[in-house]
Amino acid sequence: MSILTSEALSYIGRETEPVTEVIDPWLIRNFARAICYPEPPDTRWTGREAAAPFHLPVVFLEHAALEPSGLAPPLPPTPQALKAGNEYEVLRPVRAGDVLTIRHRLAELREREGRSGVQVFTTTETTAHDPSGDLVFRVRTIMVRIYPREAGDA
Amino acid sequence: MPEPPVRFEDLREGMELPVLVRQVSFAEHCLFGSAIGNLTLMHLDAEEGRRLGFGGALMYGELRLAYLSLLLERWVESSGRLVHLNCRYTGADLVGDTLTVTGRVSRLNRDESGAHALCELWVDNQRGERNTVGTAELAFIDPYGG
Repeated sequence: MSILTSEALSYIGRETEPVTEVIDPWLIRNFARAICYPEPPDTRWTGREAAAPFHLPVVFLEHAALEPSGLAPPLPPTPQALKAGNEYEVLRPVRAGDVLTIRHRLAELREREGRSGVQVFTTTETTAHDPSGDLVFRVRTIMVRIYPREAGDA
Repeated sequence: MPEPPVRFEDLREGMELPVLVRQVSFAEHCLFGSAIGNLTLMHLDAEEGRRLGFGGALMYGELRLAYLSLLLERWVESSGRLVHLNCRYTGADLVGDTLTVTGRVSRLNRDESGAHALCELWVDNQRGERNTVGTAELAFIDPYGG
């Protein structure tokens, strides 16, 4: 059983239009409160010009477009679509007030057949550049869709 | 009283990292889902998690990752910063699980670009399952100006 069609594979390399976002101090405080709970958030993350915890901007911006429209390849629906991994590279800390231009690209699409069925992996690469054009961070997000083998399948 | 931040010269290869233990309550999980803007039902509803073949509501992968980065950022504080963090989710933890988050220093390196520590990381639950493994690179302020 194969899930990936030539049409789906043609999506590899597609990119979204760039989107510019401002990192809000409220966003940083809210995220810090969530990860430190039930303790209060560390004070370095609560000021108006606070640096963000390491992966906050990545998670937030990635979720703003986890599988951005236009990048999602045509795949059969399955309720089992899960995050399989993340790779983060942060060249400088992100701070409140930073203006970042975000781009997403479908970097990889592959399938693997196992005893229980087919797993389809999509890897999306997200980059953020500052107004000078310098790369601030790069993240690769790997999602897996699981298509269980049905009774009677070879 | 909190521990002082670790410095590069304090590190040894094989050294164990501090341990962060968290029992992830439903309230905490909702707070995190709200903060990242992901309110997918399988993460919030135990019945939906069971319908998908899991033992309950699935813990966010990003929450496990957040604990790894929290552990490292608190460990180094102002002595350095996290540069790379890679993470694989090899299985599902459930809302209500107690996570033990830790790792060890695997390699130390000092060159013209500075002082760096590579770490292996993992997150275990109370059933002894290791569903999150990863690696990190930390860049330190080099006391010798390397």
